[in-house]
Amino acid sequence: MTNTRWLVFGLLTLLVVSCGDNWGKKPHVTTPYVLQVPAGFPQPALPADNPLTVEGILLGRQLFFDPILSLDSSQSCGSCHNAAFGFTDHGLTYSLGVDGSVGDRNSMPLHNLAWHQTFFWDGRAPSLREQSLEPISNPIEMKEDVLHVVEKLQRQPRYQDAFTAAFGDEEVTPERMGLAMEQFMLTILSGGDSKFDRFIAGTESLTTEEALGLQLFNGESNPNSPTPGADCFHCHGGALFTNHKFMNNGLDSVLTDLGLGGVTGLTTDDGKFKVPSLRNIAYTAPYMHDGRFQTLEQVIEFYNSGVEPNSPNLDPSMIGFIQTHSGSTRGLNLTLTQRQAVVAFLNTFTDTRVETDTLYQNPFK
Amino acid sequence: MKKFALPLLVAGILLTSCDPEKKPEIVNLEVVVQPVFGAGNAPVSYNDASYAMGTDTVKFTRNDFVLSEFALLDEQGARVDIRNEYAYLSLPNRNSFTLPTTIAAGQYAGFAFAIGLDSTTNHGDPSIWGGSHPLNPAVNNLHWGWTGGYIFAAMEGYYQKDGAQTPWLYHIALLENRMEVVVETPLDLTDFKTLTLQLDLEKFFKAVHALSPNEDGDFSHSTFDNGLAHKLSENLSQSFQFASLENQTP
Repeated sequence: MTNTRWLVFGLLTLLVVSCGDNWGKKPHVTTPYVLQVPAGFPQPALPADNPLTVEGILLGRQLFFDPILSLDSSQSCGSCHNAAFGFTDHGLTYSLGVDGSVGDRNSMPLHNLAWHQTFFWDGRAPSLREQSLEPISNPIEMKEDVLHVVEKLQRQPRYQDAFTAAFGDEEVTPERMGLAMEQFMLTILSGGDSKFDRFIAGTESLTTEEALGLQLFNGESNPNSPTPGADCFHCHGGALFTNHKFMNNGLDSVLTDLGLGGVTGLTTDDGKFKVPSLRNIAYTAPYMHDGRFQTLEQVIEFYNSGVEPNSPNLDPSMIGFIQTHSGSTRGLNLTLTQRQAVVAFLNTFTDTRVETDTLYQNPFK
Repeated sequence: MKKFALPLLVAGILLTSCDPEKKPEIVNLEVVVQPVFGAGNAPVSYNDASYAMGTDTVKFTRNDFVLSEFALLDEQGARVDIRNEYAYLSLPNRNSFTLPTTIAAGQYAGFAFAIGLDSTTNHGDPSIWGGSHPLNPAVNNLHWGWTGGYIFAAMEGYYQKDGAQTPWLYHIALLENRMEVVVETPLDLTDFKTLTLQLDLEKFFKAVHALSPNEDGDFSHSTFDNGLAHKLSENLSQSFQFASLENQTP
């Protein structure tokens, strides 16, 4: 090939390349965010199609705390998931919707969601991005049309800037809203700086009562064992204090809320609810999917004497609560001292970072 | 003649590389585990179906396993180890895994694996495993947390006791209950294959020891159980059988 032919070939190549869509546009640059996994935690499987960026997280936080998401601009996600209450709803049994509608399940705590694979008490959302949009249109929550929210956001200059920073242009879509809120919620962590974590790290000791609670928490409830156990660790074991499963823990002999069964349509799933993490449990009262227990003492008393052995689909992991060291078939039958010790140990899971980390705070205040 | 040399060489390489008969030198192996019940190898229906087990009627709700120490048996019966591979099964949904493309293509006489882990891995730091690794506790929910170690096999279900549905639960753990499984069968691994094994859950209750939730105990966490977990582990190690070996579908 002669030099002239090479020159023509080169110019044509340059023309083809320069005719691409991105000609003249600045490249979209974001700032990667590295999730600081607390010591001892398993590695999370973060969504590969939604890498964490500072810009995405900040947009997600803005959306999370903005009441513009609701019908009358009175409620944000943060209204029912308040950081000062471990991202739950101010101690309420049920949350109220924009029109005063009363919810039917207790507001779930939001932390360590990077390790979850399904969301809501009944597991009806398979991803955080889908979960984050659901309350917007839920008729007993924000009661708004997601597409109307898109219109409202598009009119706001601050969102034009925020969407451009996060995604490269100002287009607002439900998908982008979900991705941004997913990013923000993935950053909410509880762990690493609780008394329990400091004990594991060897920098702080447990009291005698807490140490007894630890022993009971990790102790098996078994008629053949020489010592009693509270058998908590089977469902609330590991660094995250949850097994992420859906289980029936024997609250009721007659089910009034089908839980997972209402989603799958399988009677064998009736009465199963997501096993919550016990991290920050002191913040997140009341307890259970329906908030029936106001205090941790009431929760422990349930496991001590109130388990329904004939509850449909009672999880096999609950067998230690119906065949116990004491012979009771309705719970652990621990002494008052032992019950108090378990509560004391549960209180060591409190990580105040949820209140102090500026990343988790409402940017509109 | 010289000007034809290069095109001929290229054509030769292309023809060679397109040879449909050419067999790979190394292969991977997909392994599928099908839960079945009894001599008829009836597929197990989890959660709802009941199965007659001697004087008991049992249901199955959970069969989760941590597997390791995979090996093929060569034609002399010697182990050809596939090292540093682990798998997590949660039947019936998560029922397969693929061993990597490091297996020398050829004829083998069997497949072996362990249910459970060696002591070092079992008691190692579980937080080192990647987000989707089979040994990540958030993936398998089989790690016993601060007490250390994994449950090797979590077997759960219900049985009828005094007319009422009652849970049974056997969590097999601890080094003395680690299980060796050997399935001896000719395996033509000259290509990429899928090996299907059946797990006969009837044998779990009777392969070596005839056990009944009613009579022998309906739960064990591998301690204070009068040796029940060890007997169950011996049963479980004898509960796997060859079903098929087929070419992988692209």
